[in-house]
Amino acid sequence: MHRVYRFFFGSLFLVAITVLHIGLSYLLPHPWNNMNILISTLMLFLVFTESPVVVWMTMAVFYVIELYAIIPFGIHIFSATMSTLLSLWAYRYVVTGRRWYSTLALTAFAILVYRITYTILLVATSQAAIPFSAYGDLSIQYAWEMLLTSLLTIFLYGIIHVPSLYRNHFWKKYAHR
Amino acid sequence: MYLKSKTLIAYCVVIFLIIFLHFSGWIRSFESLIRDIVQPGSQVLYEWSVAISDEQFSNPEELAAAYKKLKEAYTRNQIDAARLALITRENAELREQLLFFDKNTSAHVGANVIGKSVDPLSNTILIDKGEQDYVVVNDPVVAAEGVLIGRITMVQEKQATVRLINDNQSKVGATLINRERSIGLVEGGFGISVQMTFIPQNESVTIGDLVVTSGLSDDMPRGLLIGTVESVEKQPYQPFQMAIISPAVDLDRLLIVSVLTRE
Repeated sequence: MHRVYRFFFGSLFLVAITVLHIGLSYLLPHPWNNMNILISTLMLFLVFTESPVVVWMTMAVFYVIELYAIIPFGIHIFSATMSTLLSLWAYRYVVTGRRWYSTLALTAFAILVYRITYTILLVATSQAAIPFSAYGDLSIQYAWEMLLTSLLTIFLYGIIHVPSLYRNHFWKKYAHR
Repeated sequence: MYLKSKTLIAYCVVIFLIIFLHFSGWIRSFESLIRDIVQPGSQVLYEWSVAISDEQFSNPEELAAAYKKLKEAYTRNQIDAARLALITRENAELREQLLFFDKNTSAHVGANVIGKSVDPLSNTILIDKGEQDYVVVNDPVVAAEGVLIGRITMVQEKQATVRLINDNQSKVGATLINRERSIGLVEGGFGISVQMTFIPQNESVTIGDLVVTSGLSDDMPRGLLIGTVESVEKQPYQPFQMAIISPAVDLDRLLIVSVLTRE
C-alpha cells in the first residue's frame, strides 16, 4: 500500500512540476522564461537521493512535454533521458559529494547535454533547417537557460539543505544532553 | 560499473517503445488523458500571462490619450465599414455576373487558445478544438476579423496545435497591396520577426503596405490580412528584395481564434 501511495503522490508531483514549468514559461518575462524547472527538480532529486529512479522520472515528465511539442516525437524524451543518465554517471564518478557547487556544475552539465543532443537530433531529422545566423541567438538562449536553471537549482538546494543543517546542529547540541 | 549496460539498454528500449506506441496510436487515449489532466492548469496560467501582459496605464493622462486614439480609430473604422459594405455588395454582383468560382472557405470553428509552445525553436499555440470539430492539418487559423495567424500543424481528438506565422517553419504565399501587387513568400524567423521574401527587385515596396495571402499556397484562401511592411531590405546585387512584416495582431496575446475548416 505504501508503494501505491508513493507512486500516486510521485505522479501527482511530476504533473504539478510539469504544469509549473509550462506555466512559468508563459508568465515570466524574457530571459526568466528560459528557466528549466524540470531539469532543476530532477537534478535536486538526483543529488539528494542518488537514486536511478530519476531516469524514469525524466522520461515521465518529458513525455508530457513531448505531447505539447511539434518537433518529431521522441527528441525531448531521448535528449533529456541521455542528459540525466550522463548526469547520474557524472555525479557518481566525477563530481562526487553533495555540495552546492557540485549541484551547480551538474545542472549546467545536464542542460548542456540536453540542448546539444536536442539540437543535433532536430537538425538530423531535418525538421528545422537552422540557418547559420540563428545559431548565435540559439546559443544565447541556451546560455540563459543554463545560467538561470543553475541559479534556481542552487536557490532550491539552499532551501532544502540549510534547514537540515540547522536540524542536525540542534540534535547534536541539545537533543542528546 | 554503476550504470550497467543492461540498464542502459533497458532505458533505450523503453524510450523506443514509447515512441513506437505513440506513432502506432495505441496509447492515444492515454495521451488524451494526460493532456486533459495538464490542460486546465496550463490554460489558467496562459490566461494569467495574457492578462498580465495586457496594456496598463500609469496615470489618467495616458488613459485619456489612449481613449482619444481609440475613438479616432473607431470613427475611421465606421467609415471603412460603410465603404466595405458597398464594395462587398458590388463584389457579390460582379462575381455573380462573371460566374467567378468562389472557393468555399466560409466554414469555420471558433477556438480558445489554451497554451503556447515552450520550445525555443518553435512558435506555436494550442487550441481547444480538434478532430471532433472537423479541424484538419493545414487549415488556416485567423484572429480578430480575418487576420491570418497561422496554420494547423498537428491535430488530436479535442486539441490542435497551430504553427504561427512567425515560426521558423512557416511559409505562406502572399501579395503586397502595392502598385504591382507583388507576390512573395511570408516566412517566420528564429526570433519574433516575420519576413516577406522573393519580392522582385524592380517592384516598389513602401513602409506601411498591406500584406495579404495570395491564395497560391495549398488550402489557403486569398485576401487574408497578414500584416504591414515595417522595413525593406534591398541589395542591388540580388534578384529579390525582402520586407520585414509587422503582424496585424499581437501573436503573444491570442485568446480566441477561428479555424477555417473545409466542412
